Amino acid sequence: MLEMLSIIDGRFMAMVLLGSVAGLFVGAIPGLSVSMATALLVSITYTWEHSDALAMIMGVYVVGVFSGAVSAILINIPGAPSSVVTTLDGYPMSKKGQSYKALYTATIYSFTGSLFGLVALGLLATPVSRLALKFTKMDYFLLALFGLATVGSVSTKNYAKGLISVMIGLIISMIGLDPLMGTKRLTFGLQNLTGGISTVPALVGFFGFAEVLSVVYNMKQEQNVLAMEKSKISLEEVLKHWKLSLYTSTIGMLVGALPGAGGPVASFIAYNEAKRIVKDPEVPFGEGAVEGIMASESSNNACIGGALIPMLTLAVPGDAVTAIILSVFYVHGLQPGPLFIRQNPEAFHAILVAGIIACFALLILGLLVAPRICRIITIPKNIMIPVVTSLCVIGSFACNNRLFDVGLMFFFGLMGFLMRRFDYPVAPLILAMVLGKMMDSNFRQAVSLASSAENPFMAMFGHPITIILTICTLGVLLGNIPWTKKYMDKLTGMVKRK
Amino acid sequence: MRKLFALGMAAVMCLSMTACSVSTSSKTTTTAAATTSAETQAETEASEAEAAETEAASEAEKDTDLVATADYPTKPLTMIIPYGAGGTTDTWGRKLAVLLEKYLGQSITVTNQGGASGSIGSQFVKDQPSDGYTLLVCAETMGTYRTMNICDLGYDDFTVISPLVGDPKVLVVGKDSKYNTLEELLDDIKANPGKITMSHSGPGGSGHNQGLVLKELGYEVAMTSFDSGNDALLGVIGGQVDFTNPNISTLGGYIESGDVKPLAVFSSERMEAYPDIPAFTETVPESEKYLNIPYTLLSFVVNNDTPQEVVDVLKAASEKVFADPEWTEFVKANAADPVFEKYTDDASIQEFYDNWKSVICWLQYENGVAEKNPEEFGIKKIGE
Amino acid sequence: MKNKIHSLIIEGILFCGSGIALLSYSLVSYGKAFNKDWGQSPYLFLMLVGLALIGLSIWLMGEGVLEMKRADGPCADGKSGRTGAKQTAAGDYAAKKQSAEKIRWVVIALILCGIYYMALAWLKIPYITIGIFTFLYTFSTFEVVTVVFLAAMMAFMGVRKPTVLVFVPLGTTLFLSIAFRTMLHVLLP
Repeated sequence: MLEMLSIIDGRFMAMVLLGSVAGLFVGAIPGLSVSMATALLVSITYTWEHSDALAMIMGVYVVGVFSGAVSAILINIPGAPSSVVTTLDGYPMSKKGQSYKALYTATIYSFTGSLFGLVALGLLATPVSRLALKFTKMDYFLLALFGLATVGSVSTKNYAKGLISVMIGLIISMIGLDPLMGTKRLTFGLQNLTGGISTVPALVGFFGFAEVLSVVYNMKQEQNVLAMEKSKISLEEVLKHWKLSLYTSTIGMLVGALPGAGGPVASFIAYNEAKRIVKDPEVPFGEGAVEGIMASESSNNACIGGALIPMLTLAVPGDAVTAIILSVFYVHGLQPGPLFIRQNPEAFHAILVAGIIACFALLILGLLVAPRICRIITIPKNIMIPVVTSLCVIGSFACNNRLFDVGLMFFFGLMGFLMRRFDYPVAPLILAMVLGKMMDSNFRQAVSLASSAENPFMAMFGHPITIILTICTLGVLLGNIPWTKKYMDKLTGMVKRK
Repeated sequence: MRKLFALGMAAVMCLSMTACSVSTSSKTTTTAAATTSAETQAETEASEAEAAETEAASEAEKDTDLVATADYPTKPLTMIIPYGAGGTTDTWGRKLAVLLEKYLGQSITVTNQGGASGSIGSQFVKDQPSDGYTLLVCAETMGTYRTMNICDLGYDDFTVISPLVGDPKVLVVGKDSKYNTLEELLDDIKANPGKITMSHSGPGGSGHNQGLVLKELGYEVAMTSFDSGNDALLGVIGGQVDFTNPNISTLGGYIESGDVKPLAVFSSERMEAYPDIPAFTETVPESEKYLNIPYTLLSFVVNNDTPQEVVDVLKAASEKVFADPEWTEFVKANAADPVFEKYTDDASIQEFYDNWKSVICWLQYENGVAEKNPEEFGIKKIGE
Repeated sequence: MKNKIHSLIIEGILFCGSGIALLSYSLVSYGKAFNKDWGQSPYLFLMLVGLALIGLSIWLMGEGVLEMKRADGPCADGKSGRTGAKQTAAGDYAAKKQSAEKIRWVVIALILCGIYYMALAWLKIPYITIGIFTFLYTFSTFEVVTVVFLAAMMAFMGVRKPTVLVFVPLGTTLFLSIAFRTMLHVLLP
């Protein structure tokens, strides 16, 4: 323990803080993503000592994931897919003038979530990575399917419409070269579509530009300036959900540790669980419930610690940012793998300590910035909306340096606008898009592996984890279909009585 | 609002200050800047005295190392990695970029443009002006884009500055596997054709090519394409797949930790770093003709109509890089095959790539992996 | 309320159509592909998605029919639409009558964005670099076009103060340009 603390000196602290400040801005500006910032840092920090480089990157990572919530709450553009769920309740709260309360909750629970994830990383890295190895291809597919099944119920009253959004998302994700064979699918002969559709233009389009169009649509009806609600928020009031937050953080950490699923799935599952457990929230979910923000933020921040586990122990990045951190490791001559924690304790401790300092930096920055930045909603819409539009444009351009993505962004914006008009939720679409490629490849790999086995069905569904996941997925699906719902309710009632 | 912008500016400034103060690579000090393409013009209002001073200082410091001429490079360069961050190509590309900066005297921004087997990033480089300011580090898939019908690019669209390294491939099984030697595994494959599972990194990739070599040699395995080499390896460690053939760079600590059992190096000679692992040809001598080429091959290239002077500067710079102790140590630490040492002049490089294309493209075509006949693109079959 | 129920069925038919299209696309492509192994075929999953989409669209149509029957009673079900539209601006449904006019606004905004996009794609303004000490600031097409676009969009949305119309676009563009071009080396147009 003591040797861990010996890393901390003024320089190390300064690096983390600097990274945190950068992360705050990068995450909060839609289109500037944390992965872009870390990618840039790789080139800058190359000549540094690796503890300094890791310190700064952890600062960016931890605070960047949190600050994705800032733009999600204030202008309804999630900074990253993992903040999509935060928009569900965060933006309605902003609209009611409670942006400060929303940001405050997000800050507190991002802090506890990140801390939880990092502590888990410190204590449980090896067992969790062993558990992750037990997941077969089919399990990853089912986990994603489970996430998608919950999504349909999370974001709309009409389950079928939620699932249709999921299907549209899956179709969008199929565009481009398929991940296994390299065959072109659904490209309609367009060379630009060959590489597939990146998440950023879709995210910015479906949320940001669709919002622009909605505001334009209602330009004459809505008041131009939103008023701020002036109210004191007590820490106790916010902290009263701490038990639930431990549960959602655990979900976040575990799902984060499974490569490929990551933050978005974790936050959707956590949100669904919160909705299930909290039966009578003060404000209904989806209309500005603090519990929703709590679930989403604690779980997506707990993912940080989770995602670092497979990266350090198996060299498998859990998400885009850990993929870049992985390259920092290689560039600095560190080789993550099963022996990493034993062989390079100082690098491991640097990550842990930097992460924990970054958590506190998050808390301080969040509390300092929230009361100021929440006033952004008081900027007249006719000034804010054009600025948001140009942010959308530059953000979608920046991810691949091509104008085609800007065109896509406009297209998705229009599509998102129409979907809102006809009551189709956008959040499931984004999640399906993020997961589509992974589901596709895992499913086909599972089929391919099973086809050479003697009993293909057993090879596919015979593992214990697979059975549990299949039951969970079927449960969620059947529990939401109107025709089967009553039978499911009876069944759960029977189980409860026993 | 204005307050917010001021705050933002401050943060950005602050970031840039640290970037400049800590990074030792010489940043842009030249006053004559930015002439990207023919139609662009440059105009500078820098305080010239100061700039000249810094320039003099940096020149004095790097006098012995610089290979740059007066005309090139005069502004920062961009290096495109046509794969995502964190992969083999990315790791080596970034290492190269950092060392090249040292000898070119300009900063190099590394940009990842992944997707579509690296064809998107490569196409991007092809579309940039051929002035040597956009560099590309590509992997072996460049040689098979045409026959795999991915895009129209090939090695001849670029000028190869140098092949970089090959990443040796090792045949491994999980620690609980019943196979202990290559013979046992091969015998079982012979006895149960199409039943022994093997994971590889993707069709047309190096892992798949090896599976095809096995097939050519009469060993029929059930191949499943995974997302990446590391993913394929985890399938073996997790016990879902019988064997795989990862690059030694992804294999990393797994041999030492005992999670996998290495059975053979997929090459005609043993590796220096792991002398205990037998070469594949020791057990199967008839495989020699397929195994004398590196299966995972990285190359450092620029557009093919780049002026010769620029190519010369880059070649000189990369030669310096290859002699740099930092580079040689990195090569050693990753147990990489130093292809850059073997092919240094233009003729041998050309021959090497022709031979490589011929072996791989025909292998893929004859096994129904590649869609188009290599002859369409003038690729001759080896030995004809 | 009739209108709403009707739309559910129409949407169902639309999605059913796209599901069938997807299904036939994947089957036809599979037929043409030279790799005939279903397990690894790129069209396997696509086909499943197509099937699921058809199933869902039938469900949607079924719900439309059910609601149609229920529509004779009190229209309590209309509420379900409201909760689903949480992300939609509040007055969305109340003001359906003026939607023609509102759609005109949206179309104008889209045209503005279209012009912006075209300008970014086709205009080529030379790079201009200004150096302040060692800090180089370069600007080009993107900056010029963005300033104009921002001002136009603001004017369209009803900003009338000249100071705002000039300084906010300039400030925003400067900030964006420094953050992206100078700091992040994004190759802006």
